Amino acid sequence: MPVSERIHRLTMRSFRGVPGELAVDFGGGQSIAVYGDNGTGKSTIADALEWFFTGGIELLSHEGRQHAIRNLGGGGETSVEVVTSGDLGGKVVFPDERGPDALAMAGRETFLLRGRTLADFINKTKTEKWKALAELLGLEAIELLRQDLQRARTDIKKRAKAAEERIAASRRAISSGDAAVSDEAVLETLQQICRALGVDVPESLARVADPAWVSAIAGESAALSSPKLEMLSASAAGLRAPSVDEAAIRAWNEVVGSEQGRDLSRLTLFREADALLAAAPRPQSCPLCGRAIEGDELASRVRDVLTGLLESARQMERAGEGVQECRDVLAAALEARRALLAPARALRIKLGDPPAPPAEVAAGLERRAAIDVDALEAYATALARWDDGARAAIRKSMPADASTRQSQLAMLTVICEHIRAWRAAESELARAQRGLDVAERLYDAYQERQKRQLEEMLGSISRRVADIYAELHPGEDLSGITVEPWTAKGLELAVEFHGSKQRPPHGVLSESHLNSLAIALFLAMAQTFNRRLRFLVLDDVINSFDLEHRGELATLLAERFDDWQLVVLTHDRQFFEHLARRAPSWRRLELTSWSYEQGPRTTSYRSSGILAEAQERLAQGDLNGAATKARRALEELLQETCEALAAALPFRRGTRNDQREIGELMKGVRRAMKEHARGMLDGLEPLLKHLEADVQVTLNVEAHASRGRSATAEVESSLRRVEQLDRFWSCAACGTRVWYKGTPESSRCKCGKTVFPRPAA
Amino acid sequence: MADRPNETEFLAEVLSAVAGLPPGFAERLLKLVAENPADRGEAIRKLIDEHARE
Repeated sequence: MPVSERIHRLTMRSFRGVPGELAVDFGGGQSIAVYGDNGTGKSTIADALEWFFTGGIELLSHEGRQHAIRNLGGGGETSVEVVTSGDLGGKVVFPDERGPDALAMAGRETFLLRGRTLADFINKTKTEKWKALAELLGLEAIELLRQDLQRARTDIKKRAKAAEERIAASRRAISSGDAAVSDEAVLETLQQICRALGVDVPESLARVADPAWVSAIAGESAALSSPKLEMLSASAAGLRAPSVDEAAIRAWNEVVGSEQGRDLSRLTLFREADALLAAAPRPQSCPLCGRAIEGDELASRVRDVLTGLLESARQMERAGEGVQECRDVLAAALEARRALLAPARALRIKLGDPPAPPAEVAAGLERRAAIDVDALEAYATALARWDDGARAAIRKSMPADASTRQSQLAMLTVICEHIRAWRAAESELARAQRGLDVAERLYDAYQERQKRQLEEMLGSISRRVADIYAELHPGEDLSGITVEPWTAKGLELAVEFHGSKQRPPHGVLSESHLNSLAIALFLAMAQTFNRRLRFLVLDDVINSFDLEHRGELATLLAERFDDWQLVVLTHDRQFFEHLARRAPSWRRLELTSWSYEQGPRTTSYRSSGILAEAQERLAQGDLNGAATKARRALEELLQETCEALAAALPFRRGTRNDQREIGELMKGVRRAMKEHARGMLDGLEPLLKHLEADVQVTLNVEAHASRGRSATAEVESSLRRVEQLDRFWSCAACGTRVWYKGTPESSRCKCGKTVFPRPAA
Repeated sequence: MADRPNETEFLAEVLSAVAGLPPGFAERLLKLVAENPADRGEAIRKLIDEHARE
């Protein structure tokens, strides 16, 4: 299905800050920039889209906040209606009764980024990142199927092992000794017994396992007083002490007894500490003991210890598998003895309960404690004692007067039964092994593909994140941004910084750089994985950006995402102006104020910016307002020009870089043009000089306040000059700036008709 | 545009790369996974076991 769903119209009724009805027209799915001061209700637009497409608003997800979806002042039905280019539109009425299926598709796609949750993903722990991404990418379903395939494989393996145990027990019962017994030897012995007894001599073991043949022999031995007793006797004779892998127990004891093993109790603490240090500003002292320590060093030490602990946890898991096998062997030994109790009871032979395995094997596994090997040996001795007692009790019950022939016939029947059990177990083993072959090949291929899939996905996201980030921060010494797997269920962001990998990147990135990374990740996720939604909502995401990076983001959104529908909500006038200039085709909307009775007041932002507002003020006779706006428009225009031409301006601390005087900006423009476009500067100089004079007199509110009609004409002329300078940097054909593509040294507009520097006439 | 993986499609891809599976096994496994029974692990084991009969 193509990624095509765009929004055409959004209508909110009695919703959040809207008491009546507020409709936003997106034309035929065009991008829109929405400007409004804090508290004018612009986030209501993001809330409405979030509620419509996900069924909830994260800010209101806490208990007791859901009612805030409704606007109680309106009194009517609370609803959000969305018209889209596809079939995802419709109307949702509060309370929302849509089921999870109706929301599943859009809910999984990336479309909303808010300033307040900007760095959420970056600051999540590795496990949380995995969960967030796994949910978004559908990896969880793939992982669950892997677990099911693993369980099927383990069960088949257990069955194969159980069949092997039964084969071994039958062989032991037949041979009545520890020596291995071959098929040929068993067949030969059977043939000898059959010849001696004068019964049908079997030509193969398969024949012996044939129920018809066994029935015939059993018929001959039916006269025996107790063939069941013989069977019981043979089974008791086949009992052997469980073979416990002491090396596995010792390996376990070594791991749990090691310093690292004991330290594992601190794993959770260190995971938390690692996450805390990654998310929060680095402390200057240890939060536990208070000792002074440099934050980065503390984080690095915590990381080292955590890496060691994770390795120890893996070692312990491996050693635990050996102990688990020992536990299974002991359980099977107990089960084999318990199986004798019922037939013995039927023959009125009293056998005590076999001893239970020492509880410390299970407890040791559970509590990560050492297991006493001597206790296992003592258990083997206790079982051997029980076996001897059982055999003696069975022997005591054997009739003393059974004839040799009768005994031999009974023994033959018992052997045949064991051979049948042996053959059946062999057949089961062969089947289990065939199944195991399929299960293992399937599981291995699945796991390998899953690993590759994750790497491909992360690689794909990583490349996009790196590209987008580089556009937001050109020329910075930062490369190799990647999203990497971290153990089985973790993910982490990493950056290359002067040759060393920083994972997480908090140590080398400032807050605004981390926010850029979050925006890059958001945009990359949408580009990579969105299937249906072709719109993105960015709600106040530039709070920590300086002027230059606001410009970079505006350019990125306008150019790289020009085939997406973007809904950009901002309270930052400059960012709004940046967008207006870089993306002239976008729709614009301004939220001017909000009141309890009326909700948000909007005005379609028809002008191209502050300059047009100045003209509107002038037309209304507001001379002071027009002059102030014109001055502000000139400031912004010069600031933008300085940025685009990389004009050298003195650095100032903090936001003061964004609030420069017009005189300083003029100097910057002249300096840059002198360097790259001397000829153009000569032509522009008269206009610049005029504008400097305007700033001193005409656009100085104090200076023209009382000059009446003549002042109006002066402001009008000043405005024309600001417009003239604005046009100087814009292409008459396509309306975009001449630095649309290129460098401060040379560039051109979008259509290529206007270039910088202009060629000499 | 990368596709978000779906476990049935993903498994189909894996199965096509595993050689020598019993005839009909891949189709039945895919059907089973799509049906998503309550104890899927046990159902998969039974299916493998069934196909392992001689």
